[in-house]
Formats: sequence, structure tokens, C-alpha cells
Amino acid sequence: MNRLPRWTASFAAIALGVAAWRCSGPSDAQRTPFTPPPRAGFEPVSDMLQARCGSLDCHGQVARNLRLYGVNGLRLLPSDLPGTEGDTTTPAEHDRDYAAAVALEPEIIDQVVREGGNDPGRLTLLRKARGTEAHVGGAVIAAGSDADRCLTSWLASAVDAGACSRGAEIARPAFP
Amino acid sequence: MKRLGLTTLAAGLLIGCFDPAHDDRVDALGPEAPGVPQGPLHRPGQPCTVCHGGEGPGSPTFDLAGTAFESKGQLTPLAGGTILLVDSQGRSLALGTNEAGNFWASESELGLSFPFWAAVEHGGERIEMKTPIFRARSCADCHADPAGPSSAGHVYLKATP
Repeated sequence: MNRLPRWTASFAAIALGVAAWRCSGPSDAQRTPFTPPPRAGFEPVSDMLQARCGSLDCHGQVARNLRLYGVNGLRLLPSDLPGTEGDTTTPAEHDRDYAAAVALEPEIIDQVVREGGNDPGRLTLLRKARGTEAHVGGAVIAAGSDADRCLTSWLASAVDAGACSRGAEIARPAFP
Repeated sequence: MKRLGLTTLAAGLLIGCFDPAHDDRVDALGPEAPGVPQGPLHRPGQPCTVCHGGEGPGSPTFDLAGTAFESKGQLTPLAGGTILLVDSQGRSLALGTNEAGNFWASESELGLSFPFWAAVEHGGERIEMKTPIFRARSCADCHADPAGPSSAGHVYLKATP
């Protein structure tokens, strides 16, 4: 068996070393852990989003990037139907809503949460909901309203469940 | 050269006038039911504003349209019913259903702001929608048959036949 020339072996060793260095990820010290808003206590936020944004004609559709599931909108299980009397939004649906909200702009939501919920208007989620950015659904959450406080309190890692509950109620005038 | 440029521009404008997504939605509705001519009684239960939403091919254009049935789980049309609509400003509109259960608000007739709420009424009975309508102009956008995870099923007056 012929031996490789010495320069070839040296070149191969250097190439392997460079490849190993270039292909490795950042060290643990260089990694920045993702800090999303808390999943714990998200249910009232999810219920508010579902009521104001998650109807079947808006974000309760599988084609939407902010896809929201809930008892009165899109259901997760094929056996579940929207608006079923006595039914509730399932934990798995809350999980999906959380993932949808957090994954919209992970880098920005990370910054907002790290800064204690400061300047949440950096998030498209807030700007669209408030109508300060073009949104087909218009302004569905007025700045400073209960629904708005619900969202911003979640981003500050201190969910205001009362504001969420009130924010999920959309006053309906009486039929004539 | 100038002629080539003008031809390219004209072709571009022509191509730009077509919306393949809209065409697909129209095609997905299929042909007319046998024996039912185009008109107020056709295609009950289908999303009316796919064709009658201003992009064609249907005419006239509707602000809102749909079909109501007598009860959940069966397809007897609700003839002579009333669809009541009210928005958050308290403005309201009543639309009548025809023999096929179809109803519509013609272009500029709606006069309501989204979101608005709907109820179906007939013979002293009334059923109200649990959630408001945020942007759909065809009831069947959310109320198509069969009911499933992404559809509440058709609009009805009675929960039981």
C-alpha cells in the first residue's frame, strides 16, 4: 500500500482542523438564552387574544402566521368544533397560541421581556393590534385598554388576569 | 424597439389584471346545480362574495351575503326569515331570506362597521351568533358545511330539527 505524500497528509490535517473550527457552534459563554414571556399564566392572555383576534374570519385560520386556536374559533383536534356549548379552550390550544405569539418576532420579544416589558410597541403584535401599523382587522386593541394591559403585563412577566378577563369581553349592543 | 416595448408593457398590464388565487376560489365552487339558473336562488350555502365581492365574475356586488337554513344538521332553507345585524355603534340592518334561504346586502347597503353581530329570526324564534363578525363578507367563510375544526357549519335557526 502506497503512503500519501507528507504534504498531502499535512494539508488534510489542516483542512480537517479548519472545518472543525468553522463548523462548531458558539461556546456556551457566547450563547444568549431565549427569554420569552412566561408560559405559566398565559391562559387568560390566550383567551383575550382568541376573543379579539382569533375568530374564524381573522387569525383563527390555518393560513395565518399568528394562528390562534380557541373554543369559539379554530380548533386543534379534528373532533372539536368551534362554538360548542359548554366546551373550553384546551391546554394544547393554549400551547399553540403561546407558540404563535412568541415565535412571531423572537429576537424582539426576547429584548422586550429582558427589559421588563419596556417599549412593547417594538413588537409587530402590539402595533398591529393597536392599529398603529397597517392591519386589515384595524385597531382591535386600543392602547391603554384592558386588552392592551393584558398583553403588556404578559410581556412584563406579570400577567394582569383581571385585565385579560375584561379585555376578552366585547360589548355587544342589543338587537333591535 | 419601441413597438416591442409597448407590446411588453401591454402584455404585462394584461397579465397583472388576473388574480390566480381568486380564479382558483371561483373554480373550487364548481358548476351550477342542475335545474337552478343563475340568480337569487342559486348556490345556497356557498361563499357568495367569492363571485359577488367585486372581483367578479358574479354580478351584482354584495357587501355581505349568505344562506340560512331551518336547523342544524339538515338542509331545508329558512324561507321568509330575517337576518338581524347590529354593530358596536348600535346601527342595525335587517335582511330577508328568500326561498333558497339566501340573503344579501347589496353594494353600499350594509352601512355597518366591523365588528358586527348577527341573529337569525323567524316565527318568533331567534338565535344569536356567539361571536361577532370581524371581517368576513360571506357567512360561508366560517359557516361552511360540513362543520369541522375550522367551520361552525351552516347558519341555522334551530339547534334541533
